[in-house]
Amino acid sequence: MPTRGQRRANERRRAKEASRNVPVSSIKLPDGPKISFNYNDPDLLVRTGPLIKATWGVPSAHAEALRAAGKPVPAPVAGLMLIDTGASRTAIAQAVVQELSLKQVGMGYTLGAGGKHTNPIVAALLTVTIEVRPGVTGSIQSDQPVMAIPELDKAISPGELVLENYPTRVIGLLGRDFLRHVTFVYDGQLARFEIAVHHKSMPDRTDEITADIT
Amino acid sequence: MTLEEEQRAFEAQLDSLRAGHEGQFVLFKDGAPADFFEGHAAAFRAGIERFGLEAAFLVAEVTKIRPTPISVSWQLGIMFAD
Repeated sequence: MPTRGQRRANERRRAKEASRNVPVSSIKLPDGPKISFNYNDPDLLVRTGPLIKATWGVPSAHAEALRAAGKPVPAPVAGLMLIDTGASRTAIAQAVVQELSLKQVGMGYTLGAGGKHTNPIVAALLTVTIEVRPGVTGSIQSDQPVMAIPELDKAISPGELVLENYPTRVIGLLGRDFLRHVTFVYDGQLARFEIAVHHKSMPDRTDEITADIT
Repeated sequence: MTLEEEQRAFEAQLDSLRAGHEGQFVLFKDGAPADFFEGHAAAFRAGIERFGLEAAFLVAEVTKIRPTPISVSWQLGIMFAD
């Protein structure tokens, strides 16, 4: 099994070869799991940004420890993640960290208007809803360290976006560490976006794709 | 030790840790590396199993620390500007 360093080196080599031969304009979404959303209104997409359904939960090791201690495992928190190409890392709203009592495992350093800041890094389980094939939804999961951002769910709002039987609360940002594993097509003119997920390249994914046939 | 103290100790030793473990994830406890892993999830699981859920332990990638904006638009206050 290749080490993390070898895997990264292979990915860099493949990307270099691909960029030599394929202009960006000709890139097609590969087959496989997808995430897509049609906003039907270009201005709505401008106002809300590209949002996808996801949940945050406690990682499996954390859940097992809670069960072993006879304590309840918090239910996952569902909401929307904003795809943010301006973010280097995936981030979680601090309010969700508190709801789930996620464990802090370090501190991350960020640059902001006031200089260098520190933010908690917590261990969390991210579950993203995907379309396995037309008409069949499923999910992919990843245990990962994420940075907590205070006030995120209060400061940003998906505005008038209404989803049937689904909370429109923004629970985090999907940054370039997520985008590293997908092909993302954003069509502002047609008010839609589509993502093909290269899930096998995701680190610490907890399982293969799970399909929820409804 | 508190998590802040573990973090300071990890950062103080980072250069020497990088020499042999660049790109790996360290489980760090009581001011010293307890073990190294290929992924964060494995390191976190080992931390829970060895030290318990309530203990302060650090899990971090052994790599150069580079402060970056969480999100450029978030930090500039223009993410949902009218």
